[in-house]
Amino acid sequence: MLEMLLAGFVSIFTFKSMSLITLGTLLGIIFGLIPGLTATMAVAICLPITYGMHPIEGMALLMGLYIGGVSGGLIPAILLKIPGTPSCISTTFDGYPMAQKGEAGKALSWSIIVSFIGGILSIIVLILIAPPLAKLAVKFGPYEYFAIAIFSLTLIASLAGDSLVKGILSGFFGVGFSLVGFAPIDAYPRFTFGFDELDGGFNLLPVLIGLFAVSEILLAAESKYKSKKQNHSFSISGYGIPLKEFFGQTWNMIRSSAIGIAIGILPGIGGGTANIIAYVAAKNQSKYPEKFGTGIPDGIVASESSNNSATGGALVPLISLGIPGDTVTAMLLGGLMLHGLQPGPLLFQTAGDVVYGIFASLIVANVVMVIFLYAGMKWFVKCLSVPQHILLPIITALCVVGAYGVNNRVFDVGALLFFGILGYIMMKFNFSVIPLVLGFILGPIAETNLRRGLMLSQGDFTPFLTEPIAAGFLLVTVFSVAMKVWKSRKQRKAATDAIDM
Amino acid sequence: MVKKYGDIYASLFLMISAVVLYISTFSIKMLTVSKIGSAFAPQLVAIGIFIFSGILLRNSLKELKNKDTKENSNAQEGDNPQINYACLLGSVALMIVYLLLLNSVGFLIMTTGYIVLQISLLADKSERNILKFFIIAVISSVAIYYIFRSIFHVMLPSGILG
Repeated sequence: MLEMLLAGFVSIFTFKSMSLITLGTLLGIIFGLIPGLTATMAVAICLPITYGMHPIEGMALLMGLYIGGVSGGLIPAILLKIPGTPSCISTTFDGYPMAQKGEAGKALSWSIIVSFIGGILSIIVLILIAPPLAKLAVKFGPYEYFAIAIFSLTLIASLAGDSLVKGILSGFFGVGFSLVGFAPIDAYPRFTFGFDELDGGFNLLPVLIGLFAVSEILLAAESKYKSKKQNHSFSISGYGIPLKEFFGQTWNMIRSSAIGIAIGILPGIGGGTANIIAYVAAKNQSKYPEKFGTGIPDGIVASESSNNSATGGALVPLISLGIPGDTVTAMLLGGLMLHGLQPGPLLFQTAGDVVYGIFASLIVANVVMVIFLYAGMKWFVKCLSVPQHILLPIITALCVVGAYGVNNRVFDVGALLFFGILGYIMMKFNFSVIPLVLGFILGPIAETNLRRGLMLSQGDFTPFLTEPIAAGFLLVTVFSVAMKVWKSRKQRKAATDAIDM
Repeated sequence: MVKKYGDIYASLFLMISAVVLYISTFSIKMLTVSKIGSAFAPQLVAIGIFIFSGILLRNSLKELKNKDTKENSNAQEGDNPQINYACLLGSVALMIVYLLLLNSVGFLIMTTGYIVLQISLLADKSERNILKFFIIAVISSVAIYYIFRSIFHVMLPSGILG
């Protein structure tokens, strides 16, 4: 494994790859720190750039964007109390009070250092877990894949957003849209409405770019960007952290990183959820929970180490099973497929060099992230003053290029717009779009493997329930759904009781 | 209003869509000798959407009833952000025109036009400076066009200029 990792480093230690990682990280940080722009968007608009590149170079750029995008948000979170991305919402809880106490430099130092530590820890876990998991997954047949797809689908429906029913519905929409085009096994064209372009189904990229970027632009149009000329006044000084204080946070760092990695591995949710859970966990286990929110490093450590550690976690299921761990990795799934690589257990055999190139790029991107954040902090804050009414239209044009470039046809641009409007309407009706994406990716996996499995067993459904791994996943699925239903019932009952009182 | 009745409208719409989806699956033919054919998954999705929209409808009706029976219902929940429909629909219309004419007129002209109009639409009246927007639009669309066409080999439509 070490040899492979070294080979991965060798493959990215070229001038071009290193420049791409650096550029990616820089762009990612800028996208991360501007509210409304996210790492997902950064990856979306840079995907078309990778079309003509070697897969390793393309992935190097995307990994830089990913790491930069998750990390960039910490600057406005601490200095201006504006979380640049959902991944650093809880960084504002203690970061901003620290900055107001004149400890902005220290707060930033903490964030950057623990972001790095969280990121590196998660990459180590990724490198250790993914290969053996893939080795195990190679033996999986249709029964196991069907069960895993069902498990992932229900999990995301129950975890995303605050309404279980809406989450499940959104998941069904995704599966529904994935049905368009030739059916698996017998290639019967479904719901193509006479459009030849729909024979192959909707391409993943226009779906993703539409849902995550175009919908955002419509949201901005709806509220008609109000120029808020804020006078950002702050002073950054005193970066030092006493060694004793640093080691005092060791347990917090490890716990928060573990939370981040675990949440990252679960399909569909990433740093946005991890940082809040880690913050609450740190507060609950602290000896001085009352100090949280007043400006103590503990809160920053919890938030920032967990959101960065979700990155490595989210790549585990993508690389070993072909199931994305969060929205950015869903985009990366599309990116890999563009290069003819099918993410999943066989990726280690078919493109081991790319996988280890990804691992190496992640490590380098984390180092570059630290350097950039320290060196360019003051400059990055200035990016916040670029008005969104200028940025968003240019981003739309880039989205159009991205969608157009998939197949060189305007039809995909139409799909982009369709999914943008759909995403906007769903957000307006409080439906989370993340289950839709997962449904869109997992639906075909579930259907294909169900049909393949039934052909293998000659129409008998029992192997799905008797094969140990498949049965295990289905059992966990039933258990997790039952838990969620029970919990939400309890919550609703508590809420109605409160109203009755 | 969307807040209060949104879930009811959404669930009714989804239930009707589910029925339409289910009926449309009857035209899918069985091409293999298997227990389930290509119609199975769409039917499952239709049934799923129907059932869960039903649950959503029941829940939201219940909630509405709870709210109504509560005397002095605090109908206005305070934060009711104004939706700028003109700007929203204008943006959607702009995007539609942009995509319809992209192939025939070409990327450069359409993108420049789109960016100018979209920025003007989003910007506050006090900040409207068409010349500045035009310069931004020309520079960005030319840059995007040449970078993608000559460096990354994405064949963007050249349209009437080609």
